[in-house]
Amino acid sequence: MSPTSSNAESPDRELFVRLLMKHDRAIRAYLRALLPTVNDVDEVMQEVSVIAWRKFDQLDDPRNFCRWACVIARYEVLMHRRRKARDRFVLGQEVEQLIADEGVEELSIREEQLDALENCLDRLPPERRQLTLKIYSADASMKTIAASLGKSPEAIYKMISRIRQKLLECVEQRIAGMDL
Amino acid sequence: MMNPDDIALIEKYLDGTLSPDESTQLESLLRESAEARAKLRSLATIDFGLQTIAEGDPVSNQLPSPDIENTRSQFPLMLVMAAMVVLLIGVATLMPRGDDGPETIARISRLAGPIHWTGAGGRVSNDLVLGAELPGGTIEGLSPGSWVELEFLDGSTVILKGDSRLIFSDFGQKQLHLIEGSISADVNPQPSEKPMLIHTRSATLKVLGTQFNVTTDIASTALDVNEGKVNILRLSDGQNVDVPAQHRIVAASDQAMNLKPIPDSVLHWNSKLDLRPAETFGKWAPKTETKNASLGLVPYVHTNRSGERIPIFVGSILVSGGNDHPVILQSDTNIVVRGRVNSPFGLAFGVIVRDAKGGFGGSFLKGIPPTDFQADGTFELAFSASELILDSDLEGLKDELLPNPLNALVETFWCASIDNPDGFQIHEVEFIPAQTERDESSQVFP
Repeated sequence: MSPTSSNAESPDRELFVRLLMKHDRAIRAYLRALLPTVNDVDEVMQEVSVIAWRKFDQLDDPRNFCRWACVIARYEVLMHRRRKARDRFVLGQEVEQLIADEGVEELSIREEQLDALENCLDRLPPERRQLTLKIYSADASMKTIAASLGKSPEAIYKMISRIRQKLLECVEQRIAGMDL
Repeated sequence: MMNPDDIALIEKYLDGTLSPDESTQLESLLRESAEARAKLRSLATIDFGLQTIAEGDPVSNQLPSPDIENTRSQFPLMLVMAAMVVLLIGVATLMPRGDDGPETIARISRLAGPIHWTGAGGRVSNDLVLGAELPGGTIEGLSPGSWVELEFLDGSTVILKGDSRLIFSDFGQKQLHLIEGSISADVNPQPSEKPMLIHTRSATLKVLGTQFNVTTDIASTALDVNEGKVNILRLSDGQNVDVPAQHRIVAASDQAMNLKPIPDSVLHWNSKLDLRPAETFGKWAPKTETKNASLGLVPYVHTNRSGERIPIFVGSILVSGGNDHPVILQSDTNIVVRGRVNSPFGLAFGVIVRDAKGGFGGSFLKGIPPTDFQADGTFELAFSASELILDSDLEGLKDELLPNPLNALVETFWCASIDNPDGFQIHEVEFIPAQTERDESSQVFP
């Protein structure tokens, strides 16, 4: 695309933006299982977005956008891993490949889980819900939250771990239609 | 059902609180358990989802209070996302592609041995590394032990094996030119109007999605299809054939294009050097009235695990390929090498095997000390296939390769030495199964 057309709203650009925004959550959820932190996900997702736009004319069927973008995402995860190879939180290549290959087949499950999550979060006791969001907000540090509650960071990690598992249980029940 | 300790490891990974020991435990757990991997993906989704909701929640920065009403909206977050996407598109659009150099179409996902790369503008590199991103160009294996796997953006992989040369490009359609040697490919479904094309001197292959092996020399192209279907077009007369799974075909101007099932493997093999010069790498000499056909070693520069570049003398013979039955080794197979040498020296004999998908399964060797050679110049050296061990230069890839060469298809027999092989010639190599009588149905004929 030439610089002179950058200000024009071409149908390609509009379609790309719509597709990327539609599938952004599923792609990021796919990346989260492959990368140690949400910051890593943001970093890789930026690269994925740029490369996906550059290669958008190679996508034959917009219905395959999510899967296609995940292939690009997988590639970028590999590049990201090279830069962080010494980090103990980076999964080994063999394991990462297994998770990535299986994850591409579960993209629709990711969407369903994310759709069900808000409802399940609402079902938490209000103070638990707010504490969870506080922990996940960008401005909160674990040390600060733990100090404000008079607990150790380890205790807070354990608590959030139990909440995540509880939410997953709720999400799975909703998807299975067992939730009334 | 996963036990709580295993779930705790996954949770710690998501929180970034794993100790080094726990990291090793998690790695092992995820490698072995599909259930654990599924749990990781689901919990990672919950983790990511909570992050998204928290970023859009106007009350998340306040202290916890049961009186605060639940009000949240992801609308502000969506606006931020939309703005970011538009900005990224703008940046990507304004930056000419040339600013970042030629566009990457594949990367190196595995490699071993000396590899030569000629990229855009004719720039030559001998220092390719794992993960290197490549635009279109020419990639070349410089020795029988050379091996490189290219992974395209759609996940399709092509493995270049041994002394082979491949030109590859992707301008909306993957096109490979196999100038000489062998590749095996595992190709994901391609658009029907833009199949992957593989060109050799004698044929063009059209690939929509399959797993196969191609070997070519100056006069012929041999194709084995393991999965799916490949169409092959013989260039000399335009005849084309669809080759289905578990079948093979040879495209050459001087023989009929007959489709044949891939034959069953055999245990006995003889090199028959006088009949197969094209299937050797090294200094081949024909049979004469006074001398056997022979194969001598040729030099090349090898880079070892430590990065040192050392001269190595090497020769090899293709074992399973073309019209031959696939050959496998068993633990009680004897490998016998006959030849002559002017003065004894240390060397290694080895085999390269394929894994179940037709890719590189490993290179395994047996060291032979100078004392094993007889005094009169001729030699007959024998050892069991079970004595072959993984080439130490492949130690870093151990987890991705076969543990041993037994019961795997043997692609190549090779010989290598760091000493200058004074008058060294191989006359014959034979794989002899433990049976004292050769199984007549296992004879390999050219």
